[in-house]
Amino acid sequence: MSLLTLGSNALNANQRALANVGSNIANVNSEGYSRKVTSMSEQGTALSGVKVDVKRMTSNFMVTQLWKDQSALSMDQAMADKIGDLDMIMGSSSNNISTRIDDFFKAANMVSSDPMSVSSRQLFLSQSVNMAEKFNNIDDQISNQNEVVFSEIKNVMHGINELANGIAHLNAQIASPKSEGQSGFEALDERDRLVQELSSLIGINVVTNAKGDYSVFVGQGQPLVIGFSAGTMSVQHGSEDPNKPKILLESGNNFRVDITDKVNGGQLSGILEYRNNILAPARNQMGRLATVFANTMNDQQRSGLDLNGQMGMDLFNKMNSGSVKISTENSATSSSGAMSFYDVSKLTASDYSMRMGSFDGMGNPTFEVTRNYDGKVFKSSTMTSVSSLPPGDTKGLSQDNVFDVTGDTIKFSIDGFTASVKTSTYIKGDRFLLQPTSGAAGLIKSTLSRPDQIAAASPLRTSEGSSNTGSAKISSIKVNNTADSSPLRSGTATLPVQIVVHGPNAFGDDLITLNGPLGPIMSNVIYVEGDVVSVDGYEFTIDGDIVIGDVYDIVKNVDGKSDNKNALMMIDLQIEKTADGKSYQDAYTTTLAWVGTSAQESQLNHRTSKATLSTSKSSLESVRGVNLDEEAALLVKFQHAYSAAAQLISAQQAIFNSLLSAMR
Amino acid sequence: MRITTNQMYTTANAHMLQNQKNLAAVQVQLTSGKKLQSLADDPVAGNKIITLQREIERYTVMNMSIDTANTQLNSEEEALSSLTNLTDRLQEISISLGNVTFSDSVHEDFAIEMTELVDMGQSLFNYQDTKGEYLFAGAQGGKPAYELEAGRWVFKGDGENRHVKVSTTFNVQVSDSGQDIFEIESPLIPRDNILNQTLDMINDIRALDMSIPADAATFEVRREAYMGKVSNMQDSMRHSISNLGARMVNLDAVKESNANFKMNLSKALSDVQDLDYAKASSDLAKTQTALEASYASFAKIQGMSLFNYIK
Repeated sequence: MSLLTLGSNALNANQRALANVGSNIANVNSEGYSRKVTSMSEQGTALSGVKVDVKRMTSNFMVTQLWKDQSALSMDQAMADKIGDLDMIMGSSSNNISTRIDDFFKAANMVSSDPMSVSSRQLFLSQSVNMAEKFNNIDDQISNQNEVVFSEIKNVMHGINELANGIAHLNAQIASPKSEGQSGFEALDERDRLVQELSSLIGINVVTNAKGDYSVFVGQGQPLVIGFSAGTMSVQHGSEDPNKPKILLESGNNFRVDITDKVNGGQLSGILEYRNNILAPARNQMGRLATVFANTMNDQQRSGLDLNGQMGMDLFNKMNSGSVKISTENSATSSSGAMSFYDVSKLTASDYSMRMGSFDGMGNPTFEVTRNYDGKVFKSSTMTSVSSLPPGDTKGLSQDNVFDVTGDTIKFSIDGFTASVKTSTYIKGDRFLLQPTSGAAGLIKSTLSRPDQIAAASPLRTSEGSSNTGSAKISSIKVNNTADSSPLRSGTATLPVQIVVHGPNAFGDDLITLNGPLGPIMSNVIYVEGDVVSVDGYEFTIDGDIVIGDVYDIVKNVDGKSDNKNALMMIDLQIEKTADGKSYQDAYTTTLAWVGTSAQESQLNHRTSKATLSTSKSSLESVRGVNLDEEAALLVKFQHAYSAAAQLISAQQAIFNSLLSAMR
Repeated sequence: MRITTNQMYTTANAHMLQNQKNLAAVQVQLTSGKKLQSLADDPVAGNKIITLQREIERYTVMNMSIDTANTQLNSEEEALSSLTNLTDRLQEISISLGNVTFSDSVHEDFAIEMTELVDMGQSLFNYQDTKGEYLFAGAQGGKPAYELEAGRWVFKGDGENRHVKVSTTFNVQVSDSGQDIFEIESPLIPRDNILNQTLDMINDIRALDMSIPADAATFEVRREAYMGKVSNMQDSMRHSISNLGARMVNLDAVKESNANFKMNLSKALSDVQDLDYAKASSDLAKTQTALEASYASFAKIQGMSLFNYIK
């Protein structure tokens, strides 16, 4: 081996080393670049020169960790950002329902302390309009978030599909013989970069096969990229709840799989979790509050008498039905559903999933209903059929855990609502989504138009006979039936009524008889002080000392314009526990606290996963990143070696020249 | 661990960003004067703020109701004290009527004055507040409490009295039905009001001839009975006015205790939501220093490179 060959071999080697240093320096700021390290060793045989090896510095283990941490971060970040938006909507003082409720009851107080004042009544009406509009407004803002969620998911899908294609394409490029050795390094870096980007969109699992292909799986092992081919992801409206995004993956076999519940990481997962576990429940909770508010206020307003002497009309529209949604995947060809409430105080803020079962031994269809927020299951087999209710039952379907199957219609009652589902055929597995409260906050409207329609007065007034000797008085007279068909509203109530105390009977009990204009309407009732007597849709109590021979009168409150008894009961609703055991405002602050805590929690998670990612990023960076000082030293080192190699050639030339001149 | 050039920049950058973020947060606190900017900052405190605001608002509403109640009680007091003056005058007249030296013409003068007083009295029985509500008609304030029927003033309202909620636990009575305070009965006198009783007396003055001893004796008996009725009415007025006074004293007490509650709640609210400026100012200085330090260290780091030494 001549000096010349050795020299040129060394020149080449150091030139390559210098080129790598150059490449490292050039890519000091390139995202995902793996630095190249030149290692030199002696050629196999003696004096045969130097052998150059170029290595791409990276760590498969660390790269995988990075992808995992990236997915976690992106999920937490999406969640924190989104809940932050909701926090801003719900927490802003202009959206504070609690202050609207305060304003509403302030006006109600003014009406009660001065029931004939038109200006107080006018204010009360405007506050009920404001209240309803505020509910509508919040619901609007929350439901807008649903649309934002869809468009963001579409963007994410677009990104996932592009990246999956890119990865499949790079798999092909890397596998081709042209890419062997150093010329393939760029493609490897690029592929890792794409995978990292993909991991920020969706949680993935990457498997490297013997040929070096990346197979990318999403969810629980659903293939997104296999070898050179990539699948396509898409989003659709949910088959039961159109607001719930359905995530589909179409792999090479043209078969679409629903992976909505399997996605577990990345931005997509954060958005889905936010929509399903925060946004939808928050909307339901506001809907429940609006429903309870409207119903309880309507009931109280219908219990009173307005300035024109008419029984009060609803203050808000009837909020007496949720919605039943039929799954688009059902086998039955046609179905319909409806819902009504029998006790709004029992309504929860949950949605319910109903699933048809098989026929029981008697040939009746079975079904089960899952309360989504806590997973509680109500089975038809553990409910009571209306036909087997005890004799004398007056409630029928208006009570918990009762159901009825008549022909093509199933009706059942749980948690304050009665759902009715009609279907052409009972087919096992068919699904229905029951939403008692979702979106209800957007529906509430104030329906009274004139101040004189506010029912501040009680429909009845009472007095004690002027020659009574006992000190008892009729107290707490209260309307207990506000239906249109009730005696007081339909005008069939017997009035006036005179209550006569008489007796005693053989056991020494005092008796009362209620006399109407045409004779007794209730006779010889044993009466003990404090007993509640219910008649014609109202109830009353006689409090104090009753004496035989005393009488009490109940008459229509004709011209009772100065009376405020019903308004006083309206005011009391502010603190009554009407919404699932809480007052209106307590129910609202509970929702706020829950949104706030979720926001805080998501921010904490985000901070943690950010720290985790930054650790795994810097570990990897420390392996594959470029240090300019290091490269500067290498530059000097290879420059010197290059000069020395050049000297070899020049020495060879000198030797050759000496030889030539000696021959001359 | 091997440190790369990028890491040095990234780290410096991250620190600068974090310090800037901290600084911005303190700045928002200082400009808004509030500790919390969103529920997530402290959900528990956020909830407390809303609950406290609600409680404070309730006391504000109660105080409004107290003011309305006071206005109503004052109107009633005004009417009742006019009625007291009127009744006092009726008492003077009834005493004067006992003077046997008075001639029929003097009696007629009294009769004329009493007729005037009855007229004034009915307008007080039918007293209306500024928006036209009849104060003494019970629940039926939309129409007169008393109407003249066959020459007698008949109560047309009912015995309902209005109550107003003025504290979480206390409802104050703000109206008295004429049935309770004007329609007076006593063991010897059937239920009637001073207007009709005065009308009867006027009739007697005019019908009885004082020069006839039998008539004069009847007149004296009736006059004495009438004096008793007037005195009953005076008692009722005094009693009602002192009741009104007691209610107003009660209202003042409730208002004061409401004000105390409200003050305590406002203080609690301020503790939860208002910014501690001393702490925020020192936080500001601290974060500022930290940011300046990260600027300074970045300036140093970016100047360091081996390339500067191998020229």
